[in-house]
Amino acid sequence: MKPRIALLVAGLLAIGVCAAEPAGNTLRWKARETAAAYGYLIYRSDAPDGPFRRINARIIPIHPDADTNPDYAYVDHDVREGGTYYYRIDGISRAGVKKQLSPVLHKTVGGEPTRIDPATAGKLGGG
Amino acid sequence: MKPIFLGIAVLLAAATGVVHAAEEKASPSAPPVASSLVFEPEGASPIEVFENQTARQVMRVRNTGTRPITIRRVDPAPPPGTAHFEPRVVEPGQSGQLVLEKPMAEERGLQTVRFHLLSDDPSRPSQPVSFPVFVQSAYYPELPDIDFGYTDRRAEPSRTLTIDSLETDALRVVSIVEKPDWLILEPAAGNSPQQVQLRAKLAGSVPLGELSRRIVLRTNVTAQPELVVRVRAHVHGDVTATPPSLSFGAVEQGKPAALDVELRTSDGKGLELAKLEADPTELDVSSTACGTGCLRVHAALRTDAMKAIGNREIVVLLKDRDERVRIPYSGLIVKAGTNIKVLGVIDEKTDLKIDGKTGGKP
Repeated sequence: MKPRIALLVAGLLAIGVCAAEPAGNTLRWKARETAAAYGYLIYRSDAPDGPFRRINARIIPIHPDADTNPDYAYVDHDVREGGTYYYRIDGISRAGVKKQLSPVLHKTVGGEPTRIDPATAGKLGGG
Repeated sequence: MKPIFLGIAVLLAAATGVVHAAEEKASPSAPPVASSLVFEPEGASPIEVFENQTARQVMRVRNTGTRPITIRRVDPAPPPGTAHFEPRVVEPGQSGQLVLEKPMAEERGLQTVRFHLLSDDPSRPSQPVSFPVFVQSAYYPELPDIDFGYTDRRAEPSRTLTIDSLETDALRVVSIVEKPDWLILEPAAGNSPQQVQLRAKLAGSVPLGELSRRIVLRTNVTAQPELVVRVRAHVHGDVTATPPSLSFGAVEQGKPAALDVELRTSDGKGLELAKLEADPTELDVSSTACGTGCLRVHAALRTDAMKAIGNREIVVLLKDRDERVRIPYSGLIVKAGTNIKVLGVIDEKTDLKIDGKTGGKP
C-alpha cells in the first residue's frame, strides 16, 4: 500500500485569512480529523499559481487535544502594508507524507480575505 | 487489466503473543534505578530534518548526585552517529553539555534516535539517551516509484512520473547519478516551475523477469539534493504467465497449498517444457499441456516447516526457445492453529476496506 493512503488524516473544516494586527496576516483553521496527522505546513506565494515557499520554519504540531477540534492559527509577520499574498496549508502525517489541505487563499494586507477557486490553485499532487 | 494482486494475510494471535513475550523478557521486574545524571534537551523537540540530513541534539547533563560522575563514553545505538561531551567529569550539582549527531537515512516520519552512555555512576553505570527526530522529504511524492507492471519487452513501454518540490522556486534535475542500463530516462519541465517530469522507457535490452532497481537523481534542492526513485517491472517476452507471480499468503503448517500458472505464447507456436527449476525444499512443481501454445505449471508448497518465503522464483525452460520464464513466488508457513485473518485482495481497481472504512486506492 502506498503511504499516501495514510494521509487521509486532516481535512480543514474552515480556513480564513485576516489582518489580526498591523503588518501581519493571521491564518486560522480547524482540523476535522487528525488521526495519524503530525502537523501543518504553511506556504506562501506572491502569485496565485506560485511558486509557493514554506514560511513556517518548524512544522506546526497537531494539538495534543486534537479530538476537541481545536483552532489553529499562524501569523505571517513578514508582510508589507498593501501587499497581496497567497497562502495554502498542507498537512503532514506521522509517517512524513504531505497532502495539500486548503485551497489557495489570498490576502492584501489591510484588505478583506478572498477565497480562491482551488481548481486554479497550484496543487501539490492530490493524494 | 494488469493485475497487481497483493494478498494480505495478517497473523493476529500468534504474532501479538510473540511480541508481548519479547517485551516481557526485556523488561526488568523491578523499576529501573534512578540515575544521578539528568538529561535536559535544549531547543524545540522533536528535531526536524530532511532525508539524509544529520539530526543534532544538544543536551544539558546535570549531576543530581553527591559525588562527581565521569562520563566514559557515549555511543550511537545503532551506529552511525557521533557524541561529544564536555566536561568529562560532572561535579555534583553542576551541568555539562552533550552533543549528539545522527545522520538520518531515507526513512521518513517520527523516529527515536538512541545513544548509550557509560559512566562511573554506581547507581546506573549504563543508561540510554534518546531524542525524537522528524524526517521530512523535500519532494512530493515522498516515496516516488515508477512501476511498469507486467509488461512485454517488445512493447518498449514508457511511464511518466511527476515530482514536485516546494523547497525551491524552480525545480531542476542537475544530473542522473544512478540508473539501470536498461532504462532510458529523460527529465523534462513540469506544468509549473516547481515541478519536473521524469519520462522513463524500458530499453529493448531489458532483461526478462522481475526487476527492482533504483534511480538516483541530483536536483537543485539544497535541503535534500538527492532524489531516489524506485523502478519496478516484470518483463516477459513471447511467453506470458497468468498470474505472473504466485502468492500463497499465510498457510498453516501441514496444510496443503497449491497454485497454478498458465503459460501461453503470443507467437502462435507450440510450447513444450524442457525443464522446471524450483527449490525442492519449498515447492513441488509439475506441468501439463493445456492446448496448443499453452502449458500449465502446478506448484505445491511444502508446508512441513514454519518459514517465510520471499524473493524466490520458479524458472521454466522451454524447448526450442531461448526465453526463460521466471515466476516469482512467496508465502508464509505458520504454526498450525494460528488465527489467520485475510484482510482482502487488492488490485488497482479495488479499494482496501478494513472494518468498513475505505482506505483508498492501493
